[in-house]
Amino acid sequence: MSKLKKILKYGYDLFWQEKIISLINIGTTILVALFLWFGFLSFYFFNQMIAYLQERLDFSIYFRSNINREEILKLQKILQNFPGVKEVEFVPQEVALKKFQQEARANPVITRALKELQTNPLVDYLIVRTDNSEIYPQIADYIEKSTYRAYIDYISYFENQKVIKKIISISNQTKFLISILLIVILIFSALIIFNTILASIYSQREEIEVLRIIGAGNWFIRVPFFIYILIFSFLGYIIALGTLILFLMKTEDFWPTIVSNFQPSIFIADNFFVLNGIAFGLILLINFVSAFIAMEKYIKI
Amino acid sequence: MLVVKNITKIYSPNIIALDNISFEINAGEFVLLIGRSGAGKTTILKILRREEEPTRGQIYFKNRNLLELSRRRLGEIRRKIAAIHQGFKLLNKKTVYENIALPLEILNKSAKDIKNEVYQVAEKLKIKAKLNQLVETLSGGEKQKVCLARCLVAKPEIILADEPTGNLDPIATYEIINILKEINKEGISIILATHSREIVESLKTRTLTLNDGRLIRDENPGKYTLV
Repeated sequence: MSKLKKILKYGYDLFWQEKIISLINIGTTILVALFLWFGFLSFYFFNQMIAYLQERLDFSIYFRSNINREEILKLQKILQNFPGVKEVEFVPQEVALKKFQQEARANPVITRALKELQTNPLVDYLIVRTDNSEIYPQIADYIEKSTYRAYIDYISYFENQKVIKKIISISNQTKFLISILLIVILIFSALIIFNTILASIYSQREEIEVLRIIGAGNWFIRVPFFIYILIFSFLGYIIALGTLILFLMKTEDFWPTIVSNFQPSIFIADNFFVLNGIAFGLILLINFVSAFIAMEKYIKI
Repeated sequence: MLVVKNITKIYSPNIIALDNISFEINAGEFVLLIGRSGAGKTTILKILRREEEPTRGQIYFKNRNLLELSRRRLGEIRRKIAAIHQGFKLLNKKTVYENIALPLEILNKSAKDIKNEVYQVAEKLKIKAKLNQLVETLSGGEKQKVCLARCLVAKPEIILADEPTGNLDPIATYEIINILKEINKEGISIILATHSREIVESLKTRTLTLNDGRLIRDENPGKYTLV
């Protein structure tokens, strides 16, 4: 049997030799992995929420009824050439009605009201999309001073900008708080792992001492522990990931009801290797560093 | 073969465990190291294998300064200068075979070689029948034989025995001392730390006496040297 095989076997033996400590180590890994995933998903949630709100922070220009559409199209052209404007979409009142009917189809009161009206209560409007919402006040200022002001009923931006900007600011602050919380969680996780590893190595201190006494080198002692760490970290991580995926599958329909574009399963599938690499890598790194530090005391004989 | 020069060990804050100890051990010698508890017997034995570092002094093994060896080379020295202890220091959850085989595993010997050498040593120490038993099921005397077997498979040149009979009954003590004598006859040097008057009187061999960390006597039967 090659030296590597022997060392691998020692690591495997360690796992079964201290069953209770191995179970505690697996439990700690599950906890830390779930903490990390909570962090990833929280970040994703707030990013999606901000994106969703940014989308709501639209700039729509609603025209008075019976305005000549040529005038509207002229304004569309002018705004399209405005610096920073990405797109200006014209929505005729017929299309606006169709959209509204579709969105309100679940609401029987609105559906009935629209039927009873028998006319289209909606108006033509333009949707202005930009790279940066800070341009909106400049566009609004231009329109206010132009001859087109007379054709316009109202501009939606001013109606909801305060509320949406407040929510975005709260989301950004929450993201910042979650970052701090994540760092704290990471520090606590590292401490929990360190203590568990310390307990594992303490339970093996006599073996380490014996191996040192009979002339085993540092790596002959260390590598089996690293193999042991690899085994329980892998098992713990797989259990945590499996539980998380199962939970998200069972609650798949629930999440979009909070924020429509928040779909954790798709997020995990799209970033599967990167996120797992980071989470598992972090767990292994903390485990290895903890073991290295904890073993120094006993290996120095 | 082993030269100990002016070894001093001071533990903080100011406890002198060994005070300027010097002696030489020749190849094939059987030396007793005696003294009361706390005299420094265990400390000197630990220093000889670099399990502890002295505060001052030098140790030469076959003209190599042990204290200048890197920690990576210590394994090799610890197989050449092997040790057995009163507390055995065995892996209790492993079998006798696995314990004896450990030094050979470290040396990366083949399974076949390991088996041959373990059986040979076990036969010699009359523990062949116990090879598949867990160490924790053995008696004190048997455990000490396993310790000796584990030393012997690594083909040591010196065995440091730190109170190896301290936990044993008189029959097991007699057996272990006899085995040590046999091993010594094969040319392996033995340094046996003990505070048993019976062992000292029965062996009639060179005796180093430690008292409060100082070597106060180095005597051979018929030849007496006051240090």
